[in-house]
Amino acid sequence: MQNEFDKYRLNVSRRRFLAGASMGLGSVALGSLLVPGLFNGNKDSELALPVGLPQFAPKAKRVIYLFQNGAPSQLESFDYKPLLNKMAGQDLPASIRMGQRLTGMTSSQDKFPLVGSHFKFNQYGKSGAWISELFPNIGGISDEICIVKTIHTDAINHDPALTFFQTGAQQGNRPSMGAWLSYGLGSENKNLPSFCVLLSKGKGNGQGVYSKLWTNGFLDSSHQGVVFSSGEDPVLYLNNPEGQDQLSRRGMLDQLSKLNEVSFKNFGDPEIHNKIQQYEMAYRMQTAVPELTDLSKEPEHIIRMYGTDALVPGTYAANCLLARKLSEAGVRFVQLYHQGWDQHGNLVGEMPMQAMDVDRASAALIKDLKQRGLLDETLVIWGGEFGRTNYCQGKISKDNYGRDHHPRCYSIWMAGGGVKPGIVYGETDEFGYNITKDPVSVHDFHATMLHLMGLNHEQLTYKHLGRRYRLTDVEGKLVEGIMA
Amino acid sequence: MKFSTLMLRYFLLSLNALLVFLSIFSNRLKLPYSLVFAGKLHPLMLHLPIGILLIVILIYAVRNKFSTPPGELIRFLFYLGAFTAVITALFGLFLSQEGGYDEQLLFNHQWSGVAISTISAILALSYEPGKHVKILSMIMVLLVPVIVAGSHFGASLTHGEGYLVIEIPENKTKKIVTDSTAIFEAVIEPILESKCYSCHNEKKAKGQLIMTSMQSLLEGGKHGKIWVAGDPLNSHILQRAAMDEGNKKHMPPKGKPQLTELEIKLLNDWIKMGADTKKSFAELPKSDSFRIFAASFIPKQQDAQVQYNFTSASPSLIARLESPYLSIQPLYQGSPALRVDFLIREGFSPSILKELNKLAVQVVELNLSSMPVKDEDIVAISKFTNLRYLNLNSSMVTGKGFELLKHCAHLEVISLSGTKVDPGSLILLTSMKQLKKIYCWNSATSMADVNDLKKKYPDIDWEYGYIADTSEHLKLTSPLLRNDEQKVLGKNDAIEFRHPMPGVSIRYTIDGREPDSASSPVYDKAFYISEATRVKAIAVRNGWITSPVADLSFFARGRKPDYSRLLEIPDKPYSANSVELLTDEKKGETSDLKSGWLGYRMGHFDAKFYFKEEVSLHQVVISTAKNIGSFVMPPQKIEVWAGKDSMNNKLIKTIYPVQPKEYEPDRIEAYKVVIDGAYKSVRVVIYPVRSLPKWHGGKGEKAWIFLDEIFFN
Repeated sequence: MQNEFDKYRLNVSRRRFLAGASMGLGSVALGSLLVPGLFNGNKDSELALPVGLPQFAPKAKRVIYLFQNGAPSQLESFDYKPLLNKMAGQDLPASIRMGQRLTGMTSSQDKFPLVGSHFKFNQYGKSGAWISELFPNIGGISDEICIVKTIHTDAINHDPALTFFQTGAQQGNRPSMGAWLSYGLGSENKNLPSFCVLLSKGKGNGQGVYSKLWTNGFLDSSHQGVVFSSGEDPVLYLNNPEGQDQLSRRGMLDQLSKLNEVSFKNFGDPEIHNKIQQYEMAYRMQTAVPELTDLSKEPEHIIRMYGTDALVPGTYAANCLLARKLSEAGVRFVQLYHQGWDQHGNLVGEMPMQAMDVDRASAALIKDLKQRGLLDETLVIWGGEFGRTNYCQGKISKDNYGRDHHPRCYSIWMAGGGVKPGIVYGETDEFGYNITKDPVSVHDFHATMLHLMGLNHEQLTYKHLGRRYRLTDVEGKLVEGIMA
Repeated sequence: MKFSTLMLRYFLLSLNALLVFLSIFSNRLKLPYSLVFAGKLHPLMLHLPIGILLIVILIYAVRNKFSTPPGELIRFLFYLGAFTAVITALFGLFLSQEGGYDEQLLFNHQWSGVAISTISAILALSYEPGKHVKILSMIMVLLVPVIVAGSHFGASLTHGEGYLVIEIPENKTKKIVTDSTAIFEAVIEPILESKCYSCHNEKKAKGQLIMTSMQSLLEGGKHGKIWVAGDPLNSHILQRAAMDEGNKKHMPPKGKPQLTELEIKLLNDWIKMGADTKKSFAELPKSDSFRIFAASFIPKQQDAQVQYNFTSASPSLIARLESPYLSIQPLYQGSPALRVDFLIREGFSPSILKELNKLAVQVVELNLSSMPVKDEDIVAISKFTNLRYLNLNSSMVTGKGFELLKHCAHLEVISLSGTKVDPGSLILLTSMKQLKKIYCWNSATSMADVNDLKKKYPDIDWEYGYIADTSEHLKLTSPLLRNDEQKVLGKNDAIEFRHPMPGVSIRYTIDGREPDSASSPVYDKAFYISEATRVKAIAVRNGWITSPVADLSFFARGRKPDYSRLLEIPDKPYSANSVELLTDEKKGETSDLKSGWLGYRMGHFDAKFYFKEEVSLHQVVISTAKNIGSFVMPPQKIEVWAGKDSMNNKLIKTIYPVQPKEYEPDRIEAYKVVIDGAYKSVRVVIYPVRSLPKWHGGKGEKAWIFLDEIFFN
């Protein structure tokens, strides 16, 4: 039995050691010393093991993901389909629908009346991209962004779609995007977590988010997304308790680390090392976090750029500002979730409110990164988990309508780090229902994202239950057309 | 014969039999991993049989020239040659399992190898020293060309077919394609190179056409020029490409890699445009469809894979310099180039920069943003001679000493946002010819200065950033409470407002009226309430739009009953933790009715509250939720009964809350029922609205009531 234990420990420890090589254990900066040939310019053959570095020169060093939870309608945002306005009220032709499955909410409908966008579209920038009047600020930065109109997914409801988008599979046992990047690249700044999650809620119909979406899955728990709370104290209990100062805390942590090491020697549980790492991370965060999350010192022009919401913790604008600061400080993957986009009904009432929450701040984030010289190395992505139908769900009236879920095509946009700016990629049919050119599946998207970060999506794997898993599962092709 | 010799002979025979067998069934073979490694020794082993067999045949040929007949040596060498041959062939078989080899070549090579092995085995087994058998001599002679042929096939497998004749070009550097590159050179020539040059070059000029030099390409071949400028239909090259594949004249010939449809279209369009071999991309407008189409053929620019030609730093040096305040990482695995990030302001000191100079050659990216870097530190920075990216955002440099940066001869991007650099210092940077981008947002350089610089130095990308429009009127956010959670206040709990934006004043009301920026009282310090109060507050600032109203309900802590009993069970699933929650002083949220609330729809609310001692009560305050969209309406009727003992309760007061006449925003409503008196038990009965009003979407349906707290003040 002891033999089994030893074998297990050796197996797991070696890989994790190599994986965690660039993150220190307490005060020892092990880093390069343990990975042979890390600095000597030779390509090692064991490149399938992540060593905390990109495999080839990356275009982007960090990602900020502005996830719009609930699925914003592409037909009222980035996919202009005037035909739907012309044909409003008419039934969706079967030749277009081609047997697409319906959700339980609309399957009982006998009619599927097409409905066009209530909001006008305008053309912006050199690319002449059509963007709805609900997003004028994003329109204003259209020359910096690449709009992809042909993302498609398999799932039709929120939970499987969210899980699919975040983890690469509809079953919820796999690591999320941020966890994979944390596993593959680690954090630039050892004093901050490599994966942070910021949540905000809009007033629209919302779907919840849950920790499955930023989980570490079967990877080490040190790769889990750290959710910053939306109250005054973004990281709870970060400060020392009353009566303890930094020096005594350090002493306590050193002793605790020794005790945990003894425990590790006895049990070989790799989680013990994780725990030590987390304590150390928390200790270092005490210095790093307060200066980042203090919004009170922001100058007025920053507030004007992001909007007054930026000072109120827990709003999308405040999260965008915080995201910029975290990313600037070296956090590898910052993910925002803005809930409330699930407009099954009352789209005309709710969508403008949702759009107002995000429009100014998202554009401000891009501008802010650009003026600090960071946009070239930061990849920013904006989008949801699927699109919405071109037909109305529920009662259609002149002034209001709702849209159901639509997985076959939807729009997202990307900016920065290696993405071709000022283009619109992909084409959908006039009904806004099917893709006619350049489809991009979720796996293709993941593969491209990993490629821009300097990782080969086929080689970033982790062996679990006998098979080597990867974020893109067994698929994923690079989308050359959006890479600069 | 000795037993050992017999065994040896049988062993050689069986190895060859194994070899033949495996070769015949090689496609059904599944090798264990360890033998694949053995396969990698094939290129090592093969030298032995070739050398030994050729030498032994040579020795045999001149055997009579020796003073002592070398018969035994010859036999020994035959055996040695045969054994190494069969082992080499077996290893080759293992290697072939790896895949990726041209089928035909592999077949040839494999069976040549088998032939060499079997022939040498026959020779080894049949040769007897001193005897000269004619057949054996003939076999020996036959073996030589087989060895040569087999080796040649093997070499072709490794070096490519025709490796003996094709010249390997000296410089295989990838062409860098820019706008000024000729379109022909960038996209047409590569196509011709890959599909045509192999037969139409100086050494092999099919159809007397040589395409490898511009002059001969334009001259043409047996049939004259291969294209007519502007006329693709009459261009010979396209005519040949368009021919049926079965036609002998079709080009490229059958069996060779064919032109793809897109390549043909490209040639077509290019010829149509005039077949100008010198025209560059820049001469076409950016939106020109041909330019866009042609651009898609440009091979992926591997510009990111810049070749750094310095050696990497020693890992121990890097380990010594690294710290939690400083991160040193290679750009990617195996790259000698390093990126340095300074992380914590408190951890920075100029001496660390000087220490870093030990890595002066390898640092390619340096991030000093937000660090207290001063002009004096530029000296240390200028020592990083291979620096390409320098980030000095929000540092303390002003630009003095920028001329030292010219030592960083490769600097391409410098970011100075948030610093006090002025135009004069920026001009110092312009003498660096390789500098491509300068970021100077929020610096001491104004927009007018930057526009000026843009005109004077158009080769540099000046990024000024975005300027906020100070004339824009933005809406303020509502005032926030200092203690957000607490809505139930005791005598010593104050209501404190705050606003995150400086310069904002807060106006509020406690009488239910809408606050306004002129007449409502100004909030300057925390205040207290004595009973349930609805507080409304707004934030005001000159030049900014007044914020939306913050509408908050506060409750005064009252007497807590000693015992409560629910007489009517709430509708599932809104039963929460039963009656205790009504007196736990924890307020619920209107957005989450599932926790902390009791909900009634089909029935009505009825509960009794007991006090051990008689208490003097003024009023009962009931906190309810209002969410009209979800059918949660104010109660139809509230009855409060009370008595001096638990058995006898008299109806003290009934109130009929005001019903809304239209949709109103969600909020918590408090209903006060005055019951002045001294009591030991109180009973509260609340009836929900039985039929929603006409204006409501669910008119006629039953409404809900939700309550979370009852206070006894």
